[in-house]
Amino acid sequence: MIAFGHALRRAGSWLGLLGLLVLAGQARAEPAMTPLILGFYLPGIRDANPTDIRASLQLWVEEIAKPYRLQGEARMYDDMRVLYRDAMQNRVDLVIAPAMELTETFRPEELTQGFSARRRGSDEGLALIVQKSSGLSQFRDLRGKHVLRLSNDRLGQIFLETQCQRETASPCSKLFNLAEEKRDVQSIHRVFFGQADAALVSLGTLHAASELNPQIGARLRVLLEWKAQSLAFGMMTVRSDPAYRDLLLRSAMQASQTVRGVQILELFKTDYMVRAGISDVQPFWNLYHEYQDLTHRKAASRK
Amino acid sequence: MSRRWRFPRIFPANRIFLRVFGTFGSLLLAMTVLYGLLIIPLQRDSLLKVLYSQAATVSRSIIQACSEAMLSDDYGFIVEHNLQVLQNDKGIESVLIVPRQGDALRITPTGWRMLDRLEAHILPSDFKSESFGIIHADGGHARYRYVTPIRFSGLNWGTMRVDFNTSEYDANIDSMYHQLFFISGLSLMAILPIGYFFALWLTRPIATISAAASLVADGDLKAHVNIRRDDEIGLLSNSFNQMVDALAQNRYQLENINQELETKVAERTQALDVLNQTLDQRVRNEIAKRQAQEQILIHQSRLAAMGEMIGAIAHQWRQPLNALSLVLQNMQLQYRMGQLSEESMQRLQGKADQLILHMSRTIDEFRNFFKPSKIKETFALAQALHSAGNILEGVFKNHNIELSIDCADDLLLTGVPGEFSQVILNLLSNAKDSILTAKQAQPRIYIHARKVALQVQIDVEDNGGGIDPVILHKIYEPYFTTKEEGWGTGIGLYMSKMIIENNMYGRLEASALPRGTRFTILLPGVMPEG
Repeated sequence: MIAFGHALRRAGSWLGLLGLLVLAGQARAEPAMTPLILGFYLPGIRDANPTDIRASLQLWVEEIAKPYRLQGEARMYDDMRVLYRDAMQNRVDLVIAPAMELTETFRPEELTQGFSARRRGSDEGLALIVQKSSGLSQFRDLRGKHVLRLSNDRLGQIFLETQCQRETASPCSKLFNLAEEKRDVQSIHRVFFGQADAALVSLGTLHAASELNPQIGARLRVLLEWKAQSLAFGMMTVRSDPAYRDLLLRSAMQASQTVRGVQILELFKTDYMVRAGISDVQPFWNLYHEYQDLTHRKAASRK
Repeated sequence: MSRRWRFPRIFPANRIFLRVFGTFGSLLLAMTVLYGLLIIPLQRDSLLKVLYSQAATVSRSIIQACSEAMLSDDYGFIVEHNLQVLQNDKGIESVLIVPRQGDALRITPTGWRMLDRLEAHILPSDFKSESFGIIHADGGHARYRYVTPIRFSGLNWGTMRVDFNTSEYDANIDSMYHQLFFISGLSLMAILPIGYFFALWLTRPIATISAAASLVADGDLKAHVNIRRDDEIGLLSNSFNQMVDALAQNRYQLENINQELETKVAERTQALDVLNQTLDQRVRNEIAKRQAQEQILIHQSRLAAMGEMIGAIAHQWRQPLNALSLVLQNMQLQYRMGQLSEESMQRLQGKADQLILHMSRTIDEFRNFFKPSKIKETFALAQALHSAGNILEGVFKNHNIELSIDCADDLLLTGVPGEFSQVILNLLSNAKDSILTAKQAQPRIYIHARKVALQVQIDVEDNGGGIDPVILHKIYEPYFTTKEEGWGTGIGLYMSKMIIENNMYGRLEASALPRGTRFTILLPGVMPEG
């Protein structure tokens, strides 16, 4: 499970956590008449074998559900469209996915309530970091520089591209040398050791890296910051059973009050769960809309 | 009915049991502790080897995984990889990487940081060879440190130091000590019953045999031991039973023999009682018989002495008789010649009277000598010696034997004078016979009497050739004689010894002289009155 814990990075880690906590919290509620199905968007979980992730999530779902006579199923999706279809056909009770993929697939009126995981003392969001001694003080200064971002990170891609369009009205590919790293911490270290000029990383990872080495905080500076409640959410659709919604909400909020819930929280290095609503996901829709506006405007202007 | 000795039911608190139990227990416990003390260093070495192997493997793995990053100065990868290694391996406390060029890194499970130059100097970047071992920090915290140079194709890139916590090693060592303690305790718990039963098994038969032996020693020959084992103790048990059986049989035989002996003793006692009843009479008879024999012997001796004396008288009387015959012939001749005057008649008659008187005195002396008196009295030794000499004077003169008597007049003896004279006469007569047999040219007999302390010693010496030493111890036996048949009775010296030693409480001994014999008489002396 340690490998699994490492694998669940950034948004991916929240996906598994949210589903498991729902089951752990619901264990104290009334037995469900029908199985509770959690739909995971698998590409959101990084650096791990998908087969291992499926097996682990299913095992843990069953393990947690068994003592409470609750049947649970962890259903994995490689395609958000399929997940969207199942959710809209009420075959999935809870959709667990990175925030940007969630907002790209669902419209606000299709989702109702959900949860996100938080750590104490750590904000969630994105940070563009540079070395203090590099002399870079504005986004524009990144022109011609070596910039890193996380691979397969739709949020980072959209955020960075939005910034490039907003600041320079040109795509990032023309503004600086963009490279991708598999993990945020790699990007942080490369900037720290001067192997890259800047990197877009999650605030949580930056905070964790600074905890591991305070020299990072002393040597690096955040050039640009974008905060959000969380980078991943577990949300129910408007078509989900209202009885289930209350059950899931109540269970999630009681997760930190049960032994097994605390174990799962510790496993995913999470302190507590917070209730999430449409407003919490709204910044991502805003960002996405801005991104669409800027890129479509550019495309239209090209036409 | 033979009573069989069985094992005692209760634990016997004998000393041999305690000794065996104590020895067995101590030995086993000592062996356990010794084994533990010997095995722990070996285990410790093994654990250190495991630590070394682990450290070397981890270090090589890190270097290999980070080789590309090291060569390309990708410190980010080095940090991430080591963080991942440290998170995966909780046994690693820290990794210190000091490149020859660039910043040194120290990575721990809780973080990492770059070291400044001063800090980096704690480890030289050009470390030549690996080193390893357990080190103790200031706080006493122990860790296993492995330092190795980082080389790539002969290029010395830097040095890496990996610190491992020794909690597992310490836990293993503690576990070994706990196991040793546990095993020792377990051994002790096992020793107690095992040692108890072992010691009991070993010593109980001995104690049983000892108890049975004590019963046997107290006389109970029915005590047997019932130990059925096929070892030496079983053999000892059988032998013991056989020995007790043999003892019982011997005792039975002994009792029979004793009974027979007692019967015989009773019979003998009865016979002795009868014998004792007649013994006094027989003793008296024997004494009377012996006294009669002695009387006979004495009588024979006296007769023999009388024979001797008659010869002596003949020699004594021959000269006066011849002289008397000459007086009578002279008287007859003077008468025929008419010359016999009154005066000559009276002179011749006077001479004849003297001769007759001399002969008469001779007879008196003999008569006194043989007077059968048994009354003890004190008499003068010199007188007794001279009387005896006078008796034999004629005989000695006839054989030209010189008799010398050297005796003081004041020497007195107590006894029967006739018996003492008989002894002296016997000794003088034997001396005369020896002298005559030896045909001594100058025969001589010397009597010397003197006082020695409170005794009187009388030596009678002759030069008659002496007595053969071979027969010296037999001369006092009765009827023993060296004289020709018809010349000696063999009772003279026997009687002399009896008279001196039995009647006069003295001693008579013979000793050889160069040319003769000495008879020594020792008698109690008598102090003269006044």
